[in-house]
Amino acid sequence: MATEPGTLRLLRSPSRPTPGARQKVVPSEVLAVVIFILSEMMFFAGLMSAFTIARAAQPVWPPPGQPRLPLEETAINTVALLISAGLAWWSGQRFRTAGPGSARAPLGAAIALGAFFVLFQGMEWMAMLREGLTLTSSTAGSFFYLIVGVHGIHVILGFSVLAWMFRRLMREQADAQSLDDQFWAARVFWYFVVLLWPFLYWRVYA
Amino acid sequence: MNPRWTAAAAALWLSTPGAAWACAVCQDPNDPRSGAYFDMTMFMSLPPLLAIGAIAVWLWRRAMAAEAAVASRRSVSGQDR
Repeated sequence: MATEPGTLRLLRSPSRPTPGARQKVVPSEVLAVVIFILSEMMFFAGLMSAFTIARAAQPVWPPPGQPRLPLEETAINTVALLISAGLAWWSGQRFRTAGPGSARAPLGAAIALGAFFVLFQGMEWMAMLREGLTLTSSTAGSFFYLIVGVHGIHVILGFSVLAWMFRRLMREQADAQSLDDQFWAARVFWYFVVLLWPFLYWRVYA
Repeated sequence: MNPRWTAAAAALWLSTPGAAWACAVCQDPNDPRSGAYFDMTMFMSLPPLLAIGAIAVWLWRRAMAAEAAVASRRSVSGQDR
């Protein structure tokens, strides 16, 4: 049975705007990324849970014969990644206040720092492999390469998306609202990848 | 005290440690992993609830702000008339 339009209007609260006047509260791209991040959070929580229980079973950590992880060197890398998130945030601010052209420089620097992080991790892995820490050498090696490697894949994905956004900012003729929404979604993912790292660093390296 | 009640209380007291050891996850309370199991149970249970709650609050706040902006625009356009 069809409902009279007037009936619906009566049921609706008078303080609420009519459907035609409703605004988009959050862009779909951003909401999708937030939901994706929720699932990613639980994925990393599962990895960290398994790692913590395996580590608690060991009387000494790292296990005998295994090298100590480079805590101090990785601290520099951690700072680089955090600065990268700050630059991505600043780029977003510049995009909204001064347009796409002025957002390019901080975004380029953020991408460069993300690439530096991955390269530094690669060098660290080479050094660890030379010292005998492999995926099969011990529980420590298995968890180190699994957790840090999976995070590294996320970093590569994150700065690839930012690089794609950088390319779009170069064009500038793109629809401003659509570009803003996509850029916001890309930054939200980058913030997640960056803010996750200090926690992994504290748990895995310390 | 009635000797029967005393015997029952003693039997209960003696059986309690057995019940305390019967943890389906930890198995052995002296296991060094038992603390880690407890911590990780909390760690896996609370963050999703906090994250979903935070997102719900964030969406609600944004919806309220958008509604207030619409109401403000309406009142301004009403004054102009």
